[in-house]
Amino acid sequence: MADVESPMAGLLAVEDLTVAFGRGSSAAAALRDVSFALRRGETLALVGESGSGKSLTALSIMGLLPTEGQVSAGRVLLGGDDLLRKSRDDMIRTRGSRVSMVFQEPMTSLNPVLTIGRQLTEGLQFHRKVSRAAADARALDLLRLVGMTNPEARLKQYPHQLSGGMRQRVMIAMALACEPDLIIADEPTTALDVSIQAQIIDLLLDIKERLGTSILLITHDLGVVAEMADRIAVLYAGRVVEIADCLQLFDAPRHPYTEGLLAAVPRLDLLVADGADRIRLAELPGSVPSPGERLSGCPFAPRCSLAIERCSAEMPPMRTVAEGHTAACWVRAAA
Amino acid sequence: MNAPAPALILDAVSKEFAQRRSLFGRPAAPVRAVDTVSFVVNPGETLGLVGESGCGKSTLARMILRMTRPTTGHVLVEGKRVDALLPSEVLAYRRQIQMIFQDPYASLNPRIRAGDLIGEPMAIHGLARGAELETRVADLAAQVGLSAAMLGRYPHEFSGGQRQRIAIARALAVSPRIIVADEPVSALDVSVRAQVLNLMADLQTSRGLSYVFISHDIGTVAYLSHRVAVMYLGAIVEIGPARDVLRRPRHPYTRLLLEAVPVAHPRLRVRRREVLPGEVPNGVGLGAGCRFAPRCPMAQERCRVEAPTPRAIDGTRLVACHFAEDTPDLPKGLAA
Amino acid sequence: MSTPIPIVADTVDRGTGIASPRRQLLRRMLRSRSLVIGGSIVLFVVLVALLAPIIAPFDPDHIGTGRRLAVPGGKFLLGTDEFGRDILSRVIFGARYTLYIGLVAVGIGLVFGVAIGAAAAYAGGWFGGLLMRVMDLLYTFPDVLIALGLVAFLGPNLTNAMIAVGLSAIPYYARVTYAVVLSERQKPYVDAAQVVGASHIRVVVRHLMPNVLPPMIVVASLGFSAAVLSAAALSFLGLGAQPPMPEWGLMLSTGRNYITRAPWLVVGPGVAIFVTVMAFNLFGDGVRDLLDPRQRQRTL
Repeated sequence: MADVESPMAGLLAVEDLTVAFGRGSSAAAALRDVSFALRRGETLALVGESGSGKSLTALSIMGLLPTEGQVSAGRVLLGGDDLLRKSRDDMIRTRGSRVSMVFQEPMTSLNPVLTIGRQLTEGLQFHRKVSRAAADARALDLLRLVGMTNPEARLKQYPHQLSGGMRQRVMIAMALACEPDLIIADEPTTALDVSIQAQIIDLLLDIKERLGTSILLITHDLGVVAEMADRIAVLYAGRVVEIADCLQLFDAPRHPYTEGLLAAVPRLDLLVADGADRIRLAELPGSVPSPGERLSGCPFAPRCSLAIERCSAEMPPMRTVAEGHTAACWVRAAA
Repeated sequence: MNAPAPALILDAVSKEFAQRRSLFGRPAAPVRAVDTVSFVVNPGETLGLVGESGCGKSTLARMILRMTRPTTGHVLVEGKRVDALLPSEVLAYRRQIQMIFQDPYASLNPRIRAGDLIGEPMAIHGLARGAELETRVADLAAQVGLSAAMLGRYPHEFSGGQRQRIAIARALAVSPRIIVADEPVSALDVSVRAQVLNLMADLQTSRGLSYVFISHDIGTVAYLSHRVAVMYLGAIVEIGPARDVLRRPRHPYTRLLLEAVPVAHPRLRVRRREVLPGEVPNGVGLGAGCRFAPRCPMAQERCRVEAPTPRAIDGTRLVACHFAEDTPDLPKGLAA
Repeated sequence: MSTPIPIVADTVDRGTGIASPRRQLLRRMLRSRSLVIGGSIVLFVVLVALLAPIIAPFDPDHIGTGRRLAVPGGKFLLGTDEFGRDILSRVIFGARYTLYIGLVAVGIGLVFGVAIGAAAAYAGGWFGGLLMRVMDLLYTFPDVLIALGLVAFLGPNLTNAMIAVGLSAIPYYARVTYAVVLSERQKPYVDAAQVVGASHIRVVVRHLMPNVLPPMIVVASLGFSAAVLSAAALSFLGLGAQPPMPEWGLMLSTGRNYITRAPWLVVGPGVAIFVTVMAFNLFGDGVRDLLDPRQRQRTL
């Protein structure tokens, strides 16, 4: 059932990933049958709102699920290895060297009592077993790579001496330190001002182009997606509901949730266009279901204007609606 | 414009904060969080306030709400100086102006039921009591799309969007003329934001409300605002009709800010756009010249020595830039 | 109690189809072992104190109920003391004094401490600063030392000891309240209340206090055991309860003289103090766990 593209150029394949919180009869599935694939050199955006499971997906890939949660089914294949079957030690070696992560909040993700230089070299010395001097030299290169001004001085500074944008650059430099194949960027620009957000987006695009690093971008912000993504997977209440190329998804979304989401965002370009007199925004009724609410059918059915009887009884499978475009909807993606 | 008297006037409002000095240090010069800000908001109109963090928009809101007083300048509502109100007059002022806060998770007291939260302003101002209060609370709740059955619940039992509806109902309880909304949707899920924005638009139409709408998200500002003011480091650098300012910005900061806004559609992607360089300085020790000069790609010698005063451009707006006429237009596609 | 309840079920967040808050609270209470154990013992001590005249086998003050220094067992479960009084009966009646001391001392400390701390935190400025510096100064002296001084000044009897213990705890309650109010008053709901037109008194009473008092319950139940210990210490030193009161600290003090010949004289009151203090500590810990927002709002 998992509609995974050919693994030829595939770097990461997540197959039927199911994560549950709690045990026994009261266990609640936070992720259900999540499947997607990420090609080498590609940026895939996981788009979703609160409770969609986008961050949980990232944590599952990194093997960093909170203790209350456990993977109850599925595989996470990185270049052929199933990360979920790896031992703890193996996973520690994988994190940071083959997969690394950029977090949303650069202040809390950096250690406040260590210098930038120390934090940058730590991973290198652990994973690559390089000498102190070599690590320092590499740290300097990394800071230049991410466009830090005055990199020599920055090495000796502490996180609180840097601005938010600079801290996020350091985070990205740390993620790049061991030249990973994949960077997971979890809301990398959400905490930043618009102008700094633009700088970080450009930096990530630049890195992807120059180093060929694949990026799994996790965000709720459709603007960031429109700027960065090659392909998009839309998550809703722990399920993937649509996957498509970026343009295809924006031009011809097939899942009613994707459609609703795109229509609900005020678009600057349309709002200031001629003759438009305060266009009413399209509303999605209701709110995102909480993880505890178990639904037998499509999780979006209660908010969906197109819902038919079958929707609340049975979860629609992902069906191909066009080349490279799959959606899970009984109405819009019928066989 | 033969407009009626403005609902709100800010006349050269400034706010300075004394800097904490170290034990033996010399007293530092105070920080100007808001610097000579003037604007009017007409009845039934939305003024959007745009700016990045630290630009002074929240301090401005606090001065309008009289939660803090301007160091110099005046805030006028209905021709009365808000900053000079006697303590006994402040209560009455609270019936004219209300506020919607950013985070509905933190701005509603977790230990008070929704119905009591909505009813409290009416009780404080003696507008209703007993059974009448209850009917009016239920009525208000209905206006913001909450059912009366939910009013016995505590805030944590509501979703973010519902909580913001409670906050809106609470603000409407005293039937104010003006509402200051500080980032009212930024803490909400994307799919819920439209509901709250539409509700605010509807309420504006039905009640003739004036909004001061503060947001860093230019898309939402564009949706709700008739006029837009762009703030940088405590001062308004450009103010004018929303469409003009957002489509053809004349201040270089406005233009770079708009260029930095992520595109709405991947087809509009522009690689290697002009990025606003550097970051907002912390506002200490502003020199003699234009406050934006250190980051401005157009800055010239004159900008570094002489601070520009706001001047009228195109007849509809004020821009604080010596070279506003030379500001290049936005690249095609970015704004319609 | 051992069934793990998933965190997901605790997500009270979205406002639909979730168990009523009261039932949830009950469920969480029963899950906390320290709360259940501590609470039961506290309840037991309270019942013993209330029912003392009924359950005590003898008059606690009657001299010569049995022979002097009778070994525990038989008629006298915990033995008798140097005047032939039944120790069990004295320990049972002693519970009354202990709870009384705890309540009065904590009451005094809490009322004044909360008032001072809340006023200092809400008013702020030089007034709040001055108030708290004074509290800090008093806080640097050990509680018992202050209580000793006060008792020496007021005269040694149980009432004065309770007052002294209560007064000496004020700086502690004031500091805790100050910290709690300070963090609460920065929350946007306080601004929101002011914008709506709430007066200072209304903000404090109606908005701040309901959020400040629950954590203070924890502090008070922990303070209760401290107060009991301090009062017992004062009585032990002869500055609190005076003979023939069956007060536990005093019983320890007089029993000390016979410790080699008749150790049971100190075992009864000693164990009673230990169990009561531990129960209140457990109870306080349990309440704290219950109120800890991290415990409550753990979601996905």
